[in-house]
Amino acid sequence: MNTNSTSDPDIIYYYDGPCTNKVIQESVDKIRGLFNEEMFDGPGRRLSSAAIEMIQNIGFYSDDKTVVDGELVGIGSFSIVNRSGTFLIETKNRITPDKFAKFDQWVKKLNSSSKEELKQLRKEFLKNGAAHGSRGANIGLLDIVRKNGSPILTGTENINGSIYLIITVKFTEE
Amino acid sequence: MDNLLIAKTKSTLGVDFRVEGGVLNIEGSSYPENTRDFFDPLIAWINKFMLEETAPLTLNCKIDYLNSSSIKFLSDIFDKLSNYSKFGVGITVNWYYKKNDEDILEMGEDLKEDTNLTFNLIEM
Repeated sequence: MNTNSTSDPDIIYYYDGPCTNKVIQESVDKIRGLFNEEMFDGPGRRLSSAAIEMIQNIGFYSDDKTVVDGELVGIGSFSIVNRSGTFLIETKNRITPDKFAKFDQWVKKLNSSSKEELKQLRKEFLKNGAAHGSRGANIGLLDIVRKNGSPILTGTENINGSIYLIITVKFTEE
Repeated sequence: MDNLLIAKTKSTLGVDFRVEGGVLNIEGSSYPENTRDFFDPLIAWINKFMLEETAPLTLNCKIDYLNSSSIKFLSDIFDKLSNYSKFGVGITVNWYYKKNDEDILEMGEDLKEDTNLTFNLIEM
């Protein structure tokens, strides 16, 4: 685990390791500390909601896994950057090429949908949707795009023959 | 039938379901590691209540945050309550939100739109 590895002075939080609920709680506490209570209920909550979904996605879907307290947990890294009131959340985790292709297609669909289309898509998932399983309802990223109004950026990095998925989301304080 | 009481944690909701009076309170944040494990007992309790009781039911929701799978489970609970209300049982949902908290208000509006229950959005 590494919570301090940063060369960017604007990074306010960095973590690399198994993405457990404890890690999520720490990141939420960190974000909460950045805002007063009134502001937390606006932009702070949007930022922390996105952070929770994105970190939880690493924990669920990363192809690097380890066992923590008897549970299989995904490994990855994420950072929260504050550049004069514009916040960036970036996550990175290993992914197989076929999973990346599907994921990229999904993000492109979200990014190109209107607010109304996203709302309808969300309703479909809630009513019929994916998986009533314990691993998400396919609306996490959808809600990030819907509430934030800016696209999710995706990319990959090839490290020693493994593909790493990089997801970036941008927020402003307004 | 027993009451269902679950203490709130940082990542799971506080639950206070009372048989007498049919008042169900949930509050806090929900992003458990296994959402099904958390919500299954709540759904089982509601199913039992619907089978054994005929009293009106009030669900009070004071939510700080729900992750996407928790929203799905809560939406399913509302569907169950909607079906229950078709038997003439009065069901009211009170959805509380803070003045500046547009996300929680919007979440309540979305859920309200998809249900035929009496659904009150209440500013705290």
